[in-house]
Amino acid sequence: MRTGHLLLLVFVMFLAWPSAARAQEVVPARLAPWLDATTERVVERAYVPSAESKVGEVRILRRSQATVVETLLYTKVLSRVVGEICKKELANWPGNSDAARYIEMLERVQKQIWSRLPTNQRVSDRRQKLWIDFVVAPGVAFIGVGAFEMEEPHGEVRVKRRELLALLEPSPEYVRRNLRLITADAFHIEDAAVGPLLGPLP
Amino acid sequence: MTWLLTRGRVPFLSALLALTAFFAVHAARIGVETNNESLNTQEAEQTARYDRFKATFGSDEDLLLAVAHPKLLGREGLELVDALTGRIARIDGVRRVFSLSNAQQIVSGESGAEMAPVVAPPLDDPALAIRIRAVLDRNPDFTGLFVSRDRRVAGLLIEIEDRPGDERYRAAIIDALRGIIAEPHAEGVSLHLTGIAVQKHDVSAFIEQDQRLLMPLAVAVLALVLAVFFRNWLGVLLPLGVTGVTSAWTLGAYQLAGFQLNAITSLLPPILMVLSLPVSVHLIQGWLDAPAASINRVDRILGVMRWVVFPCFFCSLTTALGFSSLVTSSMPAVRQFGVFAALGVVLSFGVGMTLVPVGLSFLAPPAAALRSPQHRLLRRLLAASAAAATEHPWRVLAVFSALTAVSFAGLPLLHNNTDLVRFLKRAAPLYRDTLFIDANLTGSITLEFVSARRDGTPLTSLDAVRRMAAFEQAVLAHEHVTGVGSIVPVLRQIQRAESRGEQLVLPDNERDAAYAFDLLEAAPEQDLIRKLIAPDFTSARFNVRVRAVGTAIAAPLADAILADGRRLFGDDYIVTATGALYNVAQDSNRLVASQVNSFSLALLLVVIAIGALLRSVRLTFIALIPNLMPIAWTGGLMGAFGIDLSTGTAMIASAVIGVIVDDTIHYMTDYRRVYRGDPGDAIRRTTTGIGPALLLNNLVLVLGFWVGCFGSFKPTIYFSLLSGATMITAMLCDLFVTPACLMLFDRRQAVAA
Repeated sequence: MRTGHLLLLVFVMFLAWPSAARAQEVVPARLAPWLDATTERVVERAYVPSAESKVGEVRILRRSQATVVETLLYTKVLSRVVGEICKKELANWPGNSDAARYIEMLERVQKQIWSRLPTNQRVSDRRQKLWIDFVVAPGVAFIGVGAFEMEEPHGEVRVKRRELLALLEPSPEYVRRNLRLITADAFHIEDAAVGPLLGPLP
Repeated sequence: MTWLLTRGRVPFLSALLALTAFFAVHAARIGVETNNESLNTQEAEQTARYDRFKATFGSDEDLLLAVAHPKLLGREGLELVDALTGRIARIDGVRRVFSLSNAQQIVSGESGAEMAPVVAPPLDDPALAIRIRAVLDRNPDFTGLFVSRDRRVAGLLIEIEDRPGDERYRAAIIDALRGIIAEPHAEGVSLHLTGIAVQKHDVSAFIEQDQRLLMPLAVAVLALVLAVFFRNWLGVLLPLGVTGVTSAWTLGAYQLAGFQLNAITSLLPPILMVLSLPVSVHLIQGWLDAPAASINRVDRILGVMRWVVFPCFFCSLTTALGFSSLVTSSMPAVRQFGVFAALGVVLSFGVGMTLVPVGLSFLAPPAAALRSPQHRLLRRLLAASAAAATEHPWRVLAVFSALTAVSFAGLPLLHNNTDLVRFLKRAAPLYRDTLFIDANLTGSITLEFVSARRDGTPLTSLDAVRRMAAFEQAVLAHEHVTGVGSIVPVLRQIQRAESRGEQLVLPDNERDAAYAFDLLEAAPEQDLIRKLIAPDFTSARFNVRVRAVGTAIAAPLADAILADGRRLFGDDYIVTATGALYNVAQDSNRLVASQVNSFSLALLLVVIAIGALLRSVRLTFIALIPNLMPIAWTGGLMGAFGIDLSTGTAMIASAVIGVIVDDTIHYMTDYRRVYRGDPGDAIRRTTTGIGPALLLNNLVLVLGFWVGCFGSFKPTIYFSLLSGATMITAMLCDLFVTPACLMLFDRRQAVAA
């Protein structure tokens, strides 16, 4: 390779680096531990909308002292599923600014994941994978949204790699109530049964 | 035989009665086929392909109900369509009803393509019609299927459940729908029903109706002819007795073999009645004409039997061979007809040769031979024909040969065509309704095509979508095609909704193409989607709607579309044709081809039989001339008058050759019997001697066959009419051509000597 070509390649990489870096959300240090999945423990899980026709699953997790309700979506029609989530959100939180910001963030991430699908070649697994974490930890409550890669040993989904694409810190009440709403909806239980399932929130 | 005519009469009659009662009970139990199964050939690959199609996409036997309403897109019209949709959907056996009132369009929603009703409430909206017109204009695929181009006729597509083994539910659905159609409706409102299931239902109903009409009519006609000719009660009762016994035995055996009557075998009862008469007629005529000197009744009967047994046996043999040649047909209904008609002929010989002599043995023979005024007139005419043949044999042959040459001109005009709708008379409801739907909505019949990749991978790639669209456009360019139902229009609607555009276009990249299929996979209307594409997207259906045409148009159209498919899809894909109409077209082609084989076989068997009887190559050759001529005339006549070769008419040659050759056998046998060195004298004696019996036989056969003209199906009407006409022309040939040939043959022999 001639020196001129090598310089051009380095220049292109230099130009490309910031945009790639921008795609990945920067995690504030105070929130980083609560997004670290290496220490998490799955308390309960449920397929959504059902085990027969699943587009994803909702998991109740413990990450150290944090309680997390994580939604893993792995579906070919992610825009539809996100659309349904947004409809429910608007119904649960009419006129709420946190809900509006959450919806905007969710749709933006969905489009970002969609745009990563190649337009002119066929891919074997067309499922678009999106995770949503509602996190309640001591002194903090936030929502993280991102993409992930997964494997399915014996039909069970295991997250191989996670990529945070957006972060939102709404009011703690919004996060806490959504934790309960999502759990009740995903596990098909009454609100009264949600507490024992989630356990004491920090 | 003497024992049978004396002491054995009572045991014989008792046994005959018992057997007849047994078979009659079974004959009375014959059912009518409700699914036309025996009209389909059992071609393994074709059947397997159709079964695979039905397993993947469901039945292609949907019903179509058209609702004509002067204000269809107004509140009243839409309420009527909605009410009918709901009411029909509640009929037992109906799976779903698709109509304007529940049709869904694909529109742009908040998260992309989503379903929305075509007719959205409120129905009392003053702008309702404008709103719906806009939706219909935006979705041109609805026009033809759910609404006519002039927006005055709505189409209701009725999907029927598949209940194997249940032969009643389809009839019940159609009866219920006909009940709704017959109800009083508002002025200007009319309902019309068509579909393959309706055709099957109506065919069964017509068969039952024909049975009720044709059997009594045949009995009445035969009794009348026999009474007029014999002017003697035994001349009526004994032949009808033979006919009754033969019919009971044959039809009883038919039922015991597990068969039901179909459009072809529904002709068996009247034809059996006709075919079982000749032996009786010859025996009774001989008994009446026997010299007065033979006064011992047993000797008189035995004498007549010895005289007629040989020609009658050969006549029955050739007739049976002619019908049995139909076993080479690819269609079960034709095979059943051939086998049981042949069986009936053989039985009628046995029954006739026993029952008639036994019956005659109870009677005192007439003192003098029967001589009626009709006979004198007949004999004068017969004498004139004999004179023409003996005095001007070359002229006679020239005239008949010229007629044959003219008939050859009509043969190339013959078309192989099976038209299930036009098989019916114009007044039949199905005929009228089908043509109404054909004119106002989409084509009433469909050809089915299936495309798939050879490697079994899904058709979700951009390349596959483009090839499917190209095929769709190529199909639409064909004459007679009114529309194509496939996944392609659905993909266009999805793409329009997803891109929030106005134009119906296909996805233009791999991601969008694949995503459109992802949406289909997740769509709520899976039942509808499964009718167009396999669940794993590996095979796609193209439902080609065609005007109500016959197989003469449908078969080449299917071939042309198949050629388009193979060209446009390329070597990596498999394109196949199937469906009820396609199978009928293939069966029709196969039937005509197999009838050529049947006729060749019948001719060969008849030649062998005549050769064995006459033991002369030249006489066998002469015997063929007067029998091939009328068949050529009939073929030419059919071509000239545009009568198609179809299920019924294709059988004429094979079935009739064995019947018409009987007269020739009787004539030549009698000619050799009376020949004393003078051919002219022998011809005169033969023509005037056995001529009346031959004419009577022919009259009975012709009128018996023509009873079928009162049937409900044009192929069976044409079969009856043309078979009778062939018998008349064959009789003429036997009275002119056969003696003329014998004269010339004798002259050549004299010159050679």
